Amino acid sequence: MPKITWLACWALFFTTSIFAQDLPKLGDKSDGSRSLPVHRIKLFDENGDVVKPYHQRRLPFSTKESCGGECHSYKTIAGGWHFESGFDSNDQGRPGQPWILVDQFSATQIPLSYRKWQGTMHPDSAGISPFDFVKTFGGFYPGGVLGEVDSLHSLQNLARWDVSGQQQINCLACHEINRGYDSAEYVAQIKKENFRWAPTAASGIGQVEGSAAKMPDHFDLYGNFDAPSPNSPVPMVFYENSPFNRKGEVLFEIERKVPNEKCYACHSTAIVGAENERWHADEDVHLSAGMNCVDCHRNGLDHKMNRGYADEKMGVASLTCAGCHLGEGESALAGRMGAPKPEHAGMPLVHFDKLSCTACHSGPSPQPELANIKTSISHRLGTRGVNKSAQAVPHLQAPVFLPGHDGKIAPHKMIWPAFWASLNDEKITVIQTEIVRKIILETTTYRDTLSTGEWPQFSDSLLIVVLNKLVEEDSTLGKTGYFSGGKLFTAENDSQLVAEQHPMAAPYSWPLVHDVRPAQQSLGSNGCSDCHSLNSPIYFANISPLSPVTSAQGEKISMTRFRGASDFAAKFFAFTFIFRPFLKFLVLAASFLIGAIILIYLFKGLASFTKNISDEKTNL
Amino acid sequence: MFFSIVSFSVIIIAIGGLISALQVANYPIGSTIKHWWQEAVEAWSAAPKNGWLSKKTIRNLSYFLGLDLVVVLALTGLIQPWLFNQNMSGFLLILHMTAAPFFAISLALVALYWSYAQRYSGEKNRLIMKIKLCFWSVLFLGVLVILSSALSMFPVAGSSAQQVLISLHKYGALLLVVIILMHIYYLTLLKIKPAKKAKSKSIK
Repeated sequence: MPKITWLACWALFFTTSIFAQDLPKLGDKSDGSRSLPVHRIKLFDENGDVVKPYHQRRLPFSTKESCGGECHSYKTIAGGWHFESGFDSNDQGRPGQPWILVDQFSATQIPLSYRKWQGTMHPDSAGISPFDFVKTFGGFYPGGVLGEVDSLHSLQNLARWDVSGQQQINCLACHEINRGYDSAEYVAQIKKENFRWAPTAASGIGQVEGSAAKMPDHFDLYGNFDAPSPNSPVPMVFYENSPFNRKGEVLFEIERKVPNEKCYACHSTAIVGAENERWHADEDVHLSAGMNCVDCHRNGLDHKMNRGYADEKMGVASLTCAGCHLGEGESALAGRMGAPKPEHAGMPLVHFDKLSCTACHSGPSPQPELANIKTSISHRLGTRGVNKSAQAVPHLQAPVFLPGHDGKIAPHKMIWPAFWASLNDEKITVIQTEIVRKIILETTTYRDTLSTGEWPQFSDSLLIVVLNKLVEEDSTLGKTGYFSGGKLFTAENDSQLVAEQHPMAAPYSWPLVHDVRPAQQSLGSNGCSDCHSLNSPIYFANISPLSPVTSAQGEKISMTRFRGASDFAAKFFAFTFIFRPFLKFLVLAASFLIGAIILIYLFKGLASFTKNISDEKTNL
Repeated sequence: MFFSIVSFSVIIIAIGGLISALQVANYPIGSTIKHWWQEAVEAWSAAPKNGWLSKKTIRNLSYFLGLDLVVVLALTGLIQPWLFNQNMSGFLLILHMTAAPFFAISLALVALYWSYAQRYSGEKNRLIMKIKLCFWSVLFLGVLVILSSALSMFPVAGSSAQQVLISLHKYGALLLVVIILMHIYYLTLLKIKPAKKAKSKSIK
């Protein structure tokens, strides 16, 4: 090959290599200025065409093209924890909040996760395709990998993905602080399968009509397509004129430092009960002091937010409890943002080996009975038509004091999985909730009587009937069972209900970290008896396995036994604290006596010594 | 880990040293232990006079009770660091904490009943001087060990101070055990007659 050709090849390779690199974009790196850049930008649709309000083809704007086109590296951002969902990283993190598949009438609540957290079920195993997943949970999933990577999408839903569009990362969900942004509208649009339209509708820049869910598989976004019926208009955006200036630009109120209320849209926790109205409760002490969630949960362009626990792979040592307050950890800088250093006076050091910081400082104050809680994601808090009943499923409990991933006892939130399954040859396959729900509603009057959102109550006989009917309807199911309250229920000989402990029914728990209580409300602030007493909740609160099966209700397990320790040892240890003040006095009195004797004889010895070394005959 | 290694080494060396020192001084281990065991049994089984224990009985009892409790406290305190390289917890901690106040009481009794006899009176006997020095060292270290533990349970010491107190407690207790072993050695020399040396057979 001639030399000139070699050179040309190398030049071409070199040039393409340079352009192939993911070069930093305009907004990827700060120039050091602390001021806020103005985001007056043009909008682009998913094809990269500029959106203009008077265009006939009214496509929604695409965040990938509008935010990620020239200014921000979308691909890098998509690796963030909120978006990659466990697909794009080997760092699964410690067990966290699962997505919860809920169905009221079939009494189903299954913790799901694409991350490999022990105790959660992979959505595929529960019969949930990525499309179903986005439709069910996408209102609280800010888009990204699962919603837009074709290779993850199953063939059966390809046509539906074309109709609904990708669920791209919704940057506005967190960063748009305009009060007109409506996160409830975003949830509503996702429910209608309007994945590509949801950010536009939520932002208020345009109004979206129609529902992709009502469009047939052959719906053509770009062609002339008549609505299937007058009540099912074709999904379309009607842009407001006012947000656009003469150049066709729109002003977004983008904030890098995300306000707390934006986080709360997905990360609220509510304690259920009449005495737990929102106004009764205080905020996390850090927020009350003026901090923001993102002061600790920070991130760079990659959006791998600091999760804040001590041994996090990619965490910043300073931005953990001990890092910020005590300076523990390599290169940790104590006192950031004015964090006070706690004295922990009188707290024996063994506590720091055995307990996480959150054990004493976080969550609702432990009570003799666990609190029932609701979370944004599990109960769709903050959305339209949300069931505000205290009994609404799923049933979550807190605070449960269990060893965390690091072996230290920490408060956790907990769910008891409940689901129906076929048990063929030891293989457990979840039965679709629609099938079970149909049978239960045909067999009972719960549809008319159960309006609170509570799950039905299953007597043994009703449970047997449902289990048998499931097999009658589909003989391929073989043997059927119901997992709930830590047990597997099966019908033996079609007439007798058998319950046995089963690992698939074991509760799933995840750490409860917020709200952090003020120091004066933390455990131990009133002395040892906060924990070391015969009825302290951290040891002896009752845990009741939650189950709709009436014969399995009423069982109570102490917190100590639940975490696999001995109730007797815990009681005995607590018992010794009754005498502890007396023994402390005794020990101090003994020490004082011994000390006094030492001093007396020390002085006497000195006197004797001086007498010995002096000449007795020498008198003044 | 550091304390586990140090404490294990010190205890092994101290016990080994005591045994070899006794043998060098011609005190067979078996008969020496038997002697002290009988003394302890006598102290424990001394009958109360008129419903009260005699001064001598209390004096001996406090000594042997304190010694027994030191063994219990040392074992409960060292098993977990030695075998599992972890801090005390669980039943062993409960046992340690339960035995500790009784040790404090017995040490106070030892101080009350023995200190006059152990006072400095200008004696020239080096062995007695060593025994007295050990006695007062035991009292001093005993107070140090007791207070360092007791103070950590009052809301006066923060985490850093607690670290210091725990170190004082651990290393003070280790030194206390060593001094007690030395005390036993010197007392043995004082109280028990050495065994007669076997006559060497002359070869004709």
